[in-house]
Amino acid sequence: MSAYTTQIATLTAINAIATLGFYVTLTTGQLSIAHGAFFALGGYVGGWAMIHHGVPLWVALLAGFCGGGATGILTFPATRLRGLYFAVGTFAFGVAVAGGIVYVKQFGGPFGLTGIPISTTFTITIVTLAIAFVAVQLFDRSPLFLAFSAVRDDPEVAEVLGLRVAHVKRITIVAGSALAGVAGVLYASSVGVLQPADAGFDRSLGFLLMAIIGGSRTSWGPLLGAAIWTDAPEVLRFTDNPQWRLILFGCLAVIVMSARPQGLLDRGDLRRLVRLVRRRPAPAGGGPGGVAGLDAPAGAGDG
Amino acid sequence: MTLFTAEAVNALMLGSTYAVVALGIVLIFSVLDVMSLAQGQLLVAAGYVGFVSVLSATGNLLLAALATIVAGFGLGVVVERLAVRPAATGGHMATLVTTLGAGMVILNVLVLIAGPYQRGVDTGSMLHKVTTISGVPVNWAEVTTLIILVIGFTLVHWVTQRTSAGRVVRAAAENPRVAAIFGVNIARVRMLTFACGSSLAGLGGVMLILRYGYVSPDIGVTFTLMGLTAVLLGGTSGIAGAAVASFLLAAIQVGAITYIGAGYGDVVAFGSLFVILIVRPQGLFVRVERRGG
Repeated sequence: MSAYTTQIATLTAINAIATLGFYVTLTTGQLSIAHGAFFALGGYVGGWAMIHHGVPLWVALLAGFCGGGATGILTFPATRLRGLYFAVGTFAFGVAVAGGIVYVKQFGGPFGLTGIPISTTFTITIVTLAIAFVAVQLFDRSPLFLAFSAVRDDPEVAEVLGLRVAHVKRITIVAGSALAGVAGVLYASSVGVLQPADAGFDRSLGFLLMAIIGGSRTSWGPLLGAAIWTDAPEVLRFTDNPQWRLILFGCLAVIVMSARPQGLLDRGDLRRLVRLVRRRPAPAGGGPGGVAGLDAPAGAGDG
Repeated sequence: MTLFTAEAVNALMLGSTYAVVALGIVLIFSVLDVMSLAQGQLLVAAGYVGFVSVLSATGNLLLAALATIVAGFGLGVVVERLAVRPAATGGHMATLVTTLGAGMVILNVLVLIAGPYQRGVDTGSMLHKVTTISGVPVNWAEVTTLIILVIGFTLVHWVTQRTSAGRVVRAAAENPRVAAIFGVNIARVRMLTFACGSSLAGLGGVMLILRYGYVSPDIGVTFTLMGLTAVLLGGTSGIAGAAVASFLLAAIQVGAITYIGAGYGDVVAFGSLFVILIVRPQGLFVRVERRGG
């Protein structure tokens, strides 16, 4: 792979990690327009640690994890808000953070943090993505996911059934923001520079679109979305203007939400695809080699 | 004292613009149950059509203003048909994302056509002084802004409360299904309401351009957010709350810029939304609202 291709691939993986973070927060029905802020602040904290304390990348990743998570905690007041209002609240939060970073001298003010040592390699990024993805997949298949889905679908009923809705929502925010923070550090150490604008609306919108278009109901969705988003400019190279990617994604957002609201990849899609390829019949009450009752009940697993 | 008065006028002007945008958002939300995230972008796009195009073609301010409002209306029809209606079955989230996408497309097509830089607009006579309030000069643009605000709100209130068309709209808002049984063309009402909401955004564009003499693509997102923040701050009471909250927001923003520092306006404004939400998540003003259908 050429150096350029590696750079693109690394960026794709970084975006995928951050979008997985968005996805985790979305499982409780919270559409966050603040993940850019989590991403950037994690990156700022990790980058700052690398510059001023000379820590190695893995320590910076931990710092980013905490930084992102801490920023997520700051958004806790928004958990009281339902869906739509939560989105607007996080929108405001993200823009406020982007505006506020300009005044933090340790983070370089309006010029941003420069001179971050470049330590991110494609390998490190892929490994981090793999770890994050496995974690999210495990979570997806666990009873936790069902609980979180209940919170998304009907919070009142969930509360009545004994789920502490506010608590659950907060968990997904912190988990999602911490993941985004890790991605932020990888990004900071890949590009070497972070700016206040990285915490802003444009970046948050990017993560949102990646997850929504790629597939908001499965952890594979963010991967697909990140791939499309990061690699679209390459395909669109024949046009000179960066606006085309945004126009494309704006139109995609409208088309996807109208025709296929769950996104391009749905839960179970990949499993169905694999089954189709191997031409194995769907297990019915047992299936070849399977034992009735031990097959995962429909909907609890993931494709 | 003069500084305070000058900044108060500033806040009044800014608040008026936010109020008009917020009114559009509330209108759309109460009738269509859609939170439009494209209002600011619609404001800017309408402003470009009206002022940059028509003004340079005719040099007539009134014509340009009218063109802006009509452009807002037209854009609203397009957005409703293409982005809102197909996604309406998907609920709040779907329409949120589609209006987000629509706003993005509008803004970026605009940048593609007209470039990313701000455009100066010759508002000439608007900047002439009308009067002076405690030492602060007030010009025609500022007076016009207030007049537009009052007319706009009065018009919306009168149409929705006193006309039969307004009654139809209110019926569609309260209980679409039953209204449909009574023969109301819900699809048309939705489309027209959205278009009115976006022509209100165009009105905001008129206010803005008359006063500041320029229009730029990047203020689109900021105004969307300000409008949304005002609506959220205002709470479930709708129009009145959003209007009050708009002025409050503008006051906070201008106050922060004046007394803390030039760049703190946005941060403090949005930060205060957060603070208020901690204390009072339902917003400043609450009204019990019955939704049927």
